[in-house]
Amino acid sequence: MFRKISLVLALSLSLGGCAGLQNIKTAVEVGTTSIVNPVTRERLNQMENIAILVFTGLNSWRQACIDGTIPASCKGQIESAQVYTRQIPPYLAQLRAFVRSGDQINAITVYNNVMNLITTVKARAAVNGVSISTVGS
Amino acid sequence: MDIALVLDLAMKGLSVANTLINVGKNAAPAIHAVKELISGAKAGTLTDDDLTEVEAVLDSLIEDFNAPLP
Repeated sequence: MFRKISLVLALSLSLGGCAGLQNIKTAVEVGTTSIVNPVTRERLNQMENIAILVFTGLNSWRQACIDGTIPASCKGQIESAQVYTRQIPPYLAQLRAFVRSGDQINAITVYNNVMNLITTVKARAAVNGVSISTVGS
Repeated sequence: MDIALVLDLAMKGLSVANTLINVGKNAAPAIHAVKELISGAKAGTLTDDDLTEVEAVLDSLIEDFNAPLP
């Protein structure tokens, strides 16, 4: 029996007057930053919390696949997503180092790479019927 | 912050926890992440320990997902 996994965290129904949540919305929806909007420690922390939610959803998908509660085709789909998720750890290590050392130029580049990978993985999961919707998306 | 918004966020947080528990996953990291996103950190208040704590949780989740499927 097909069991659709849905981890919906649509938390931004009303963002008026809440700058913090607006930042999250921007981070998730746009997924990029610039020198005007630098990668501060707070922004890094925010992105990592969003990534925690995304990977919690991905791990639920993985567990359902292992348990056999979703079609066997999930194995190929997850392996396809892993092509992207396996690129994330080295980028994250670089990003954390750049943010801590205040190297904004490199931090922005790597931040955008990480966000692009997360967006790609979420999109691939969605194509396979796994909705991992975080704040504002 | 708008009280109605906070209540709405809290309700959705509970919904998320229920979803995770139903699929046999530990809901604590996700709940903590939602809490952090709701409260937000003021500029200059995050310590290295704060960052390291979240980083360790994320690294563990990524490692779990990236492991080869059995």
